[in-house]
Amino acid sequence: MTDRMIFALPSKGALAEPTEAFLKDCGLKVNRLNPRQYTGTIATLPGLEVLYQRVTDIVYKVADGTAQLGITGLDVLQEHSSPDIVVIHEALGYGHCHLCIAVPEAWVDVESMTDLTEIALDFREQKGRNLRIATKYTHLARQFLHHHQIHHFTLVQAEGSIEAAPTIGYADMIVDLTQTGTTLRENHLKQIEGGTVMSAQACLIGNRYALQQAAVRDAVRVLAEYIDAALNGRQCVQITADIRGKSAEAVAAQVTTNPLTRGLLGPTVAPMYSTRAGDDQWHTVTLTVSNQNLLASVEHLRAIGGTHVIVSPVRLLFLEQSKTYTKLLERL
Amino acid sequence: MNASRVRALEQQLLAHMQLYGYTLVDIPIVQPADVFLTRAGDLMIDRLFTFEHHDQMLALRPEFTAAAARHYLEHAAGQVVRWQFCGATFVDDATEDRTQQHSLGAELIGMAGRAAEAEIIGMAVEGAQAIDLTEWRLVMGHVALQWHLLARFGLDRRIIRWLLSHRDALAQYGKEHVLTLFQATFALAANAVTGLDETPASTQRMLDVLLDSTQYGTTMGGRTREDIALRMLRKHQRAVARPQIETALDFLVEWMQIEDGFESVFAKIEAWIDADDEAGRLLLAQWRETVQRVIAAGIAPERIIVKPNLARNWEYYTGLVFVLQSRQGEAVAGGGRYDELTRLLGGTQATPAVGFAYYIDALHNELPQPHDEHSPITLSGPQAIDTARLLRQNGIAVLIQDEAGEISSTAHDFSYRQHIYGTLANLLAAVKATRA
Repeated sequence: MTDRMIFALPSKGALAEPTEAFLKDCGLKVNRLNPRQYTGTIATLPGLEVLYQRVTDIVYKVADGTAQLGITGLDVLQEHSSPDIVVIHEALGYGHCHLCIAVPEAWVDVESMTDLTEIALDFREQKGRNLRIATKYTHLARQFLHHHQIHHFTLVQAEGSIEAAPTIGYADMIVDLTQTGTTLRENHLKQIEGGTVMSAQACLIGNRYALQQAAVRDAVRVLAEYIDAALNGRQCVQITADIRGKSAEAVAAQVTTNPLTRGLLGPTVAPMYSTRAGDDQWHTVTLTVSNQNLLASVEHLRAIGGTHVIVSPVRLLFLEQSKTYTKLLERL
Repeated sequence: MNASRVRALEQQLLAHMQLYGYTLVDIPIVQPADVFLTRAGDLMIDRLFTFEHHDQMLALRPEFTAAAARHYLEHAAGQVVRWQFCGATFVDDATEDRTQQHSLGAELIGMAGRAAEAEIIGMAVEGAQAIDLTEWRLVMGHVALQWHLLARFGLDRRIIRWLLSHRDALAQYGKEHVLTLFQATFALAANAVTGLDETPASTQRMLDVLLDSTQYGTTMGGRTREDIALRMLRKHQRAVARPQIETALDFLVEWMQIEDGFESVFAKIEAWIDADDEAGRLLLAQWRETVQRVIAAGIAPERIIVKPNLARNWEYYTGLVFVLQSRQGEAVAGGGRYDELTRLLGGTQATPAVGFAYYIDALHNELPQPHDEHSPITLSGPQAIDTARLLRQNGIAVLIQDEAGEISSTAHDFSYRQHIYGTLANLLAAVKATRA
């Protein structure tokens, strides 16, 4: 059994701050004595030591077992995939980005991957050289290009400022991450139809062999419970509303006529002791609804005489069990 | 498969090709994937066994020809070489019974003319006959003539390549389906250039607009404004090429149905070639010459079937292609001319080249099982070791057992048993004579 469990988190880059914030939202705040230290702790998980690393190194460290658990980008994981890594949760809901093909805006004749296939052949036949593509995702880029029948290209491995490569001249086009496309546009590049290599976000990973250990699995269970609860909580809000009715049963019957306001199991209806004289038979209804159905739910409550509707965020929502942990056990 | 039988077949065929002056060359099983991807057809690209190593894409060889062309560039450029290759080839296909297959090929590189084609085809057929493939037919097609006839419709190479790669879809789903696919693949998106007619004035205007629109670009990615404008024009021309595509598809439908004796098919093809189309006539004349040479080499004319649309899995073929088919229609060997491959792999010019390969696994399945295979006989007793040694020296396989026993009952075949007894009697007589 491992005495010291390491949970590797991004030290810098686009995932660093969102990861801290995400864990804090989950109730797993990382305590770091000062920002220059590369270690930290999580009060909820006393056996776990947090180690800050670059996202690529997190993949390597989890693969070789130096770290038992880690959070990194799905894009980085797929680029440096290892059979020794198990993806515990592949969509933590932040750090969204796309790995995509980007060509110079001046290539007005290139709108799709079919066009690019032809351009690659043109380069070889007319210019006597391969199309040069700058990227740090050489593995994913190569697979994607071959899949689209593009076989003649040279990958130029680069780190940082890849968007500038076609302007500087050391590559003709790029394969890189983008969130909004702004940086690409600022560098006179454009995306093309069918040119998304993959969509990615932050993910939780573990070492396959470490996950056989009871202590590591216990830590994963705690992480999975809090993460699932936080992600469940983000999907919904809690509503309380005051509704007049003869009885709690009568109010509940009215509320549940609409499937959107049936809550997780059903509404909680409690009698209210109104301070206004003669204004009795009020009840307070409490229920949980999904974000997307919020307004429709409020309108239904109004329609049956509801008022004073208060909407509160749900920080954590624990269901019967953690789906993530159950699935992990099945896979292991 | 019987491994001994496969080895024996390989040895027979290698010896056969040696009589034609073909020397055995070893080429690595692992090659840069680019070597095979250069002109792999869509089917082969999907089945290529690739992997990455030290950031390079590598492939297990799926065949010998492309690797042979690379070997030629590196070791024998400019010479005439006759090489043969033998060994494992690989396909990455879950539907195949075996990832690893056996193949044996020959390449004649650097020799121009029809004689090279006739030599390769003749050698392939004679080799198959030498290993007792009795029921076979030689099916021939011609890639260059097919391209030439499609180019008459004013189509560029990319379109022709696309049409040829959609022949199965054409046969299965018909012309309209392929036209729809074509529109989806090549039609222009709504933009500035659609709607223009094709008069020289409007073409020039479009080029001017495009050159103008790209002149402020600071990021050109290795292309010039002219590159971009000319390709835009090419795209536009494709978008208005539907009538030509339709005519080409009508031709292809008819072309794909032809399969007959060479005299009848050549007459049909001749009718398609215009009187002033010298290049077309030359290609057909060359094909005829190859057929005549093949017949002169001893192949019966009735064994030759011409199927102009004969499709091969590799797109590097540039002329005549052929397949040797068994009675069940199984391809047991195949090959053709591939003059452009050396240039595509980095050579300075095209090199005449013809080659073929026997598909040993298929060939093995098509051949009658040999009658002369015998299980080893089993001996035991105090004289067993000496007797076994003498028998083995005379080409008889022997197993030795501890228990008592006579000549094994596995030697059922009467004549073989006679042979064994005869050999023993001779050995005994020889021993007696020596002692006397």
